[in-house]
Amino acid sequence: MPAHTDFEIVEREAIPKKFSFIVGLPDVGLVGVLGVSHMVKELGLKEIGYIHSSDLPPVVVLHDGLPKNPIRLFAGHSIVAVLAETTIPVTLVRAMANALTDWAQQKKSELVVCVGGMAVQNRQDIEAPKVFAALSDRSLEARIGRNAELLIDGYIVGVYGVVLRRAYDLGIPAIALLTQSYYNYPDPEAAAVAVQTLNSILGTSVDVSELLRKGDEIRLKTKDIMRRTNAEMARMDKSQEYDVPPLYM
Amino acid sequence: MAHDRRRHLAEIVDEYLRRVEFAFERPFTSSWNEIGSCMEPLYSVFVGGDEVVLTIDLPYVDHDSVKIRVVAEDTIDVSADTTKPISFKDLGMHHRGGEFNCYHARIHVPVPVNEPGITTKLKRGILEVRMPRVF
Repeated sequence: MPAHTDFEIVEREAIPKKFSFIVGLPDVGLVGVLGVSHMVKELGLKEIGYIHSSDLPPVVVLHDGLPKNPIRLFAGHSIVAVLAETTIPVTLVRAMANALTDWAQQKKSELVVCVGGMAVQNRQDIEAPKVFAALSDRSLEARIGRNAELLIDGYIVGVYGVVLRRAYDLGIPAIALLTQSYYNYPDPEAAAVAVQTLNSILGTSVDVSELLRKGDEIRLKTKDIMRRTNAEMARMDKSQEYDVPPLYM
Repeated sequence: MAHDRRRHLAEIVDEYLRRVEFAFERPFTSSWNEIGSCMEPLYSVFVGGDEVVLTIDLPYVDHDSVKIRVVAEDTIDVSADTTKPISFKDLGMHHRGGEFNCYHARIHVPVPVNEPGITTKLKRGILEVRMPRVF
């Protein structure tokens, strides 16, 4: 892949002056996609733009009979959400992460929240998944409060890790909000927990009952994108997130 | 400058080879078998010291309908009926007419396993299959 790609966030409508930027990309357990998609629907967020790159696969998704870009922006309730209905090829992870973070800085986003999963091997036996937060700035601890446990050591592989690192460099407040989930199966229950945590952080009140009630249907509808996401996660060695960092013994 | 150009070309070649490799790895396939009315589930295999643990995502399945057979030293066959017929329309795809009532997968197991010792558990829609290894 060329070192310089043409990632561009295209705004079709005005961006709110004050907003939190919520990112839901295909990742572990599809927690981000399921959770952010549910928030977009429940809050009635309006489609306001999309992400374009000539390096992305030539995929168009049809909704209500109209061709849409598979990575789109939605806004409302002091939120701008980016939601992807296609996988991000591993070769574009860094360009995508940089584009999102730079745009958040340019638009003066108050907070960036990347919503994802944290794979646990015994997920079947966990009734109430825990939520962990990795921060770009320790001053965000107050904002997290008791809504999530802080992630102190470990690896984050993929777009969210690069966003967090770049946000740290640029001085942008950013959180990677990671809920315990299956690694390679869609996890609507974990997504429901993630949305409840977002409710606490953002002051929204999104009902998650549909995510829980329609669990089987959601898992079936999303098994194809989960399969493609699994292939990309294998390419980027996502399983490194299970590893123990070796330094500072 | 010349170094940058060489690096750039190497990246393009790497990406091209990756795409070719991917195309050969995955010829046109679908996890929806409309002719057989069966779906291929998501699954994963973990090889431990004493056992192989297979998990399979099976929405709309009761434990009673799950069938597991070791069909070769390195292959097991898993099938299960759904609790109700599932059509593409149910999933929001109105232009496709298929209907499904089962899951089926032939799964490669990288080490020999002992069929009589296999145990299964279905929890939260995930089937867990534990297979003792044969040494």
